[in-house]
Amino acid sequence: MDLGLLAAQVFNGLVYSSILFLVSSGLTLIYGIMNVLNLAHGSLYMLGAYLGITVVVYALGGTPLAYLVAFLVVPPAVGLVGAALERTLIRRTYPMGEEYQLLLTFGLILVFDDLVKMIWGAAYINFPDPNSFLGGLKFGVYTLPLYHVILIVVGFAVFLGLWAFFGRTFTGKVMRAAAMDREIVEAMGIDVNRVFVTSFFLGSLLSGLGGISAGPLYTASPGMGTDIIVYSFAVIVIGGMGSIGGAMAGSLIVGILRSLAISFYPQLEIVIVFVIMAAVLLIKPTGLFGRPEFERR
Amino acid sequence: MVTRREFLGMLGGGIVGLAVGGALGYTLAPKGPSPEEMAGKLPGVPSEPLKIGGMWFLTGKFGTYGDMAKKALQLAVDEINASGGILGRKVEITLKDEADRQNVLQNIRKMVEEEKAEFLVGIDSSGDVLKLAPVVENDLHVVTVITHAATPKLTACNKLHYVFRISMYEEPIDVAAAKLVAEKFPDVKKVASIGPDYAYGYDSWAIFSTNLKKLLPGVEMAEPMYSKLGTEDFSSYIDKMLAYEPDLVFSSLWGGDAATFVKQAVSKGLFDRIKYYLNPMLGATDTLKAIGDGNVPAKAQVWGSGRYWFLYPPHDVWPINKAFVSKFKSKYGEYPPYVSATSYTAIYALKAAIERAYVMKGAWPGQDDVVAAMEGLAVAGPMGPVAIREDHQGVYSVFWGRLAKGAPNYPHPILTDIQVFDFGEVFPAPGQTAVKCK
Repeated sequence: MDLGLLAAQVFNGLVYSSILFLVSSGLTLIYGIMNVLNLAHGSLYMLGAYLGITVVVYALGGTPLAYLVAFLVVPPAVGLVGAALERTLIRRTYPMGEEYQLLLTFGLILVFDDLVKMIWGAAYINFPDPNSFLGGLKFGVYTLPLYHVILIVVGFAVFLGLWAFFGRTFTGKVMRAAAMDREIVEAMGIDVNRVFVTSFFLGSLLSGLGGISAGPLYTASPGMGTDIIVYSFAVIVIGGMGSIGGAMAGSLIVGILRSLAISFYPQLEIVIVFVIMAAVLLIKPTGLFGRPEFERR
Repeated sequence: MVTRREFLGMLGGGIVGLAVGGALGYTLAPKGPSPEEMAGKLPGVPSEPLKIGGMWFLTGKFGTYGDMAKKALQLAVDEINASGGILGRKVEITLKDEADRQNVLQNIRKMVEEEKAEFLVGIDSSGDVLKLAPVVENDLHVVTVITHAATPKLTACNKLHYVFRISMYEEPIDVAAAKLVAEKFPDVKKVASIGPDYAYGYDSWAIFSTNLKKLLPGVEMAEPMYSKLGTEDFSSYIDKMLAYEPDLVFSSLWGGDAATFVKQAVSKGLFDRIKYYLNPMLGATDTLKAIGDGNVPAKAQVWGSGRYWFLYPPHDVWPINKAFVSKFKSKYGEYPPYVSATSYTAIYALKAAIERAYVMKGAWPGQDDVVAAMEGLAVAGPMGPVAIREDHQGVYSVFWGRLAKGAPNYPHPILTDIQVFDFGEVFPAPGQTAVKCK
């Protein structure tokens, strides 16, 4: 086996894992705290990419500074969109049951795709690649683009940040508590609605961060949220639904195995993710990290 | 291969001009009477409008193709209606969305049976066109002009009567690719490839590689790679290519995939380590816009082809292209994509055939009269003269061009150094294809 290629593919896998983690951690967080499976989570990722293009290209002319501004501005903006969705639409489904949530959030996917088409057009748009000014590190015949390295760092930094947030901060602890027993938390005088809107804000922010991170690598098009949401579901099922650590483990497994499969067993590229998912479901139906931070009763 | 200079000579010599002299009239014609003034004036022509049904992907991920087609149809129909319609009949268009995947055949039937479309145009997907052809042939019996779907099987493996294809299909472009390599880059030793993971990707590689092996027997080829449509991250494919150390990469990726691949290959340094990159689907303005000037590789030569390129045939020798490009640009603010050119030509092909059939018959023609008039017809389209062959395939010259930055004259990268392959060199004979029919 070609060790250089193996190393390059593990690196590629880590980049993809990092993007997957940003999106799936938001998905699993919202599910863990609120028991809402937001199918439109991928649309928020798409929104992150499109808003990123708007800030970077149309507003700021593609300078290196523009990327920094976009990374600071876009994720909170997407977070606010998510929070607004929770306040206006999704909260209405809480008394109605999960099938209504699925119908509503599926409908939102179509709405977002059409909105994107109305605002930015149906054609795929090029998001300029920051590697053009960042460059890359040479490694044999391979190049490790610097932006890819940054993405890996961002993914792990967000993981550590979330871990500290839920483990160390008051808000984080309240969110976990609300996930475990809503009534007790309410009885202690905490506004649970605020907890819900905060978790939607945070989960959507993470998806928006995924979108702005991935945007410069990919090409933006309406419907770009579909693929990532399918893989994100696989990730959180493998890792354990509601578990941030599980989202990280699942992202690493899916990202790296997909990359290795392309190189060494191309026929397995798509199927491998779902084979692992099925195997995990058979052996440990709650996922690898079956004891989620947000355990529910 | 014909160089640009020789091609100009051919046009100047009138070899091609002779075949299409008659059809040139439409761009030069002064404004005629309106359809209202013309209505009922020609004996045997019905007075109600002539309805043409169209189907493309109007929504969803591939909705951009429907958008291109709609723009061109509007342009053609406005032009035709401003000068008397078709034999005095005003032309109207009715559209259905190919993205309505479960109802493709029902919607086609609805256009014909309920909305009374007399002719059909369009179809983006090769799968759809192969399902549709038998229905049109055996059941609907309306002349249908395909404008996009590119599988060789449609015209090579079927005996068609009502179905025609005006657009270039994949085989001549891939045959020309092999010729381009053999003639211009005979130093190539190792070839790697990637294509979309469905019939087109496999067919395209099969046609290119079998032809190249015949022309350059010593070339070594890597196991072909295939990625699913809409792949976002090509890094793993690119590194696998780098490990093989090819000097030429053949890619049949299209649309957003083609653009994403080039962009990621730039940042992964692929174009610093190969000499040539060929993509038969690169000559599409939607793809070129998404690539952007910033991703035009400086070192490796990137070559592309397509069904139509807005700068070819050159505007100074082919005024029909010049007129089409300038009308399209002034109306829509962009250079015409290939689906626009083929859809526009489809409407004019129908017009020419109906008029020809009317003259032959002396009355409004039936479907079989239009079929007879379509066979052997030559239409002057923006892509040059298009001759409809006995297998119902439109044939015209294939181009390959080298990718270059568009600035300062164009808003997106362009193809330059155009190499022309006369259709006689690259079209298989009727009924023949390198792809297996069954």
